Amino acid sequence: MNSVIKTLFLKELRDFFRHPQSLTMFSMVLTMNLLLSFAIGELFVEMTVNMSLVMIGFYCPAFLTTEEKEKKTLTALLLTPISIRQIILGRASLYALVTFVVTMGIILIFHFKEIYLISSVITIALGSLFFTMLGMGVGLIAKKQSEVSAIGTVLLLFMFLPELLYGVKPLISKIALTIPIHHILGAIREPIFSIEFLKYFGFTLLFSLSLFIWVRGLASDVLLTENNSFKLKGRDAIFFTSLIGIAASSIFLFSEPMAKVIKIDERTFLDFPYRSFKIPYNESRYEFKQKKVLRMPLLTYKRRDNEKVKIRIHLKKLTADEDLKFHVEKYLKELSKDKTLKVDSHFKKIGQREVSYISYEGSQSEVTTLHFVVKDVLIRVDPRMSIKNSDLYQSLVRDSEEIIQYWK
Amino acid sequence: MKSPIINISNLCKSYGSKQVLKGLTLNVEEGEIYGFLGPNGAGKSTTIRILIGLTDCQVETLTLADLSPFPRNTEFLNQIGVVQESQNLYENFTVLENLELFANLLNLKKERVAQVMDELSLNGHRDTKAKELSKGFKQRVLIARAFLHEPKILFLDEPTSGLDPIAADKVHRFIKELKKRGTTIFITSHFMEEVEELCDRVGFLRDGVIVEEGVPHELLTKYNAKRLKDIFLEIMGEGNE
Repeated sequence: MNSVIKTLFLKELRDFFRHPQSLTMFSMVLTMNLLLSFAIGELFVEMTVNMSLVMIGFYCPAFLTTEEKEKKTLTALLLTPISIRQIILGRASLYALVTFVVTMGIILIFHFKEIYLISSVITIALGSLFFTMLGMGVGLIAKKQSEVSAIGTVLLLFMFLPELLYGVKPLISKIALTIPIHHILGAIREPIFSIEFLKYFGFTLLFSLSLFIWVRGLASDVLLTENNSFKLKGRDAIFFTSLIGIAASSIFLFSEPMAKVIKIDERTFLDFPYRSFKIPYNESRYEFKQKKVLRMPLLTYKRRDNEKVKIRIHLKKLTADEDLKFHVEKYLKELSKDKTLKVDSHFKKIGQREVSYISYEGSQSEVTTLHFVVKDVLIRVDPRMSIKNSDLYQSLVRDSEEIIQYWK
Repeated sequence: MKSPIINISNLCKSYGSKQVLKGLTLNVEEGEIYGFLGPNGAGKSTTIRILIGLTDCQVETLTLADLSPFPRNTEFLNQIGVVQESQNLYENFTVLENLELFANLLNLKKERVAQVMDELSLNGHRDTKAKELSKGFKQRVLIARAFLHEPKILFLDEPTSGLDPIAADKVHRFIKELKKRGTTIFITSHFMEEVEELCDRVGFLRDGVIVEEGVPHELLTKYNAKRLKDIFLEIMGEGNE
């Protein structure tokens, strides 16, 4: 490592351990993850990774950069024969490293089964650098630390909410596609040599490169200006235009087209162009709706004659060490927490498929959930209704079985 | 004839429609202590920022030790040391850590830090964090930091502002010591007694130009004044009240 950058890295490290705000953010991320893990049992990668990247990667360098601007210590550094690039790299190297270590730690502890290791290492390294540079950029623009807090809060919500609600509404999904965290979280879930990984990582890289170039120019302008104040320039317009361009390309490339209704052997199916399955669809009896919850497709067949009656289909990609039995046991374990439920479970063949039936007495009627596996996807079919009618429920279960039988 | 170590000719600086410096011209000879005087807002700090390469400007000639501050360059930065009015030390670092950081960035040996700490009697507080130091002590650390690499030109912006007489005297003694070693010192101050005591020459800045310049005792004779403060008041006049 260049000796100047090494000196600056060690300076940042010393500052990190003595700075109350850095330590607060650091311990908040760790405490919140542990508490949430203890309280909820299962954490969403959308939440934990986001929290770590924004709170450590963004907030810490942003606070410190603004503080150094306010106290004019950055000016003192500029009066030594080191370059602005070295000042940026010195800070970025430490905070990107800390963010990387914490985020990877969280991923390995809480989400190991949901991710691919090499994809995660590469993507989180770039993502950590992205958020650190973003923090430094905002730190350079902000006049006071209170401004950093305000911008950071908006940023956290902007990064967090669309991603968490991705798939719920088309507009929210489109907004989520414009945010780099979507691509970071997408890339860590794909194997390194897959097209999907390259697409997600490519967009993370594009966002990062435009940000790095912008921050480099911004630092020169702000630091070599009286009172270190920020003034909007042509360079900023180019940066924001490039961001809009990248975001628009992302919407174009990642938006999933809606399922098409097709006919095979006189039977109607829903065909998903980006997925390798076709689902039987009784168009005259049901209305179809497609959503995603935490990136998992959630398909709903709503009865046309009674909208309180529906079949929900959840899809989940299985990891290498998971199978149908694993998930059935997991589901049963969850249900066993409610001691009032009498749960019955058995396996039955529908056509060539082995299907798990889990039933218990619900408030309206008996509830049956069917699980089966196609390739590496676990499918949970959930006949649901909010009225009491046993016959109707049984017909709903039969329709569910038909979906499983003809699922291609 | 030797050329001046600071050579400024027709320096102009505007902020929007407001022109702060309107063709400032001044020369400082090597080894001289030059007092740069003027009321608040006259443009003293802006001039220093320009001279140290932190703010751009329009200028006919601008060289310090025969080097231009623009574009920002290593050779130039090695020739200057700056003590700014804001006491910009790393507050969470000790005195030693503050000095070692800059010594490393300046590629100096550790012995140099020990030497400077010795010269400025900082050893008693080497492990004290900057935020726990008195204002006078911080000022000494700042001077030590600015002088670590033995620059040819030292800029001191209000070096004794807010210091008690004892602390100010220590700073004065060190400035005199640096002069003996041949360092050129460019100083701004509102304390006319301090300027009289330290400076070889002074320049009065008003409305963006030097309106009077000379050796303090010669100026006293010229204006028939007892103190430099009287000359300052006369030159700046009512327009700046």
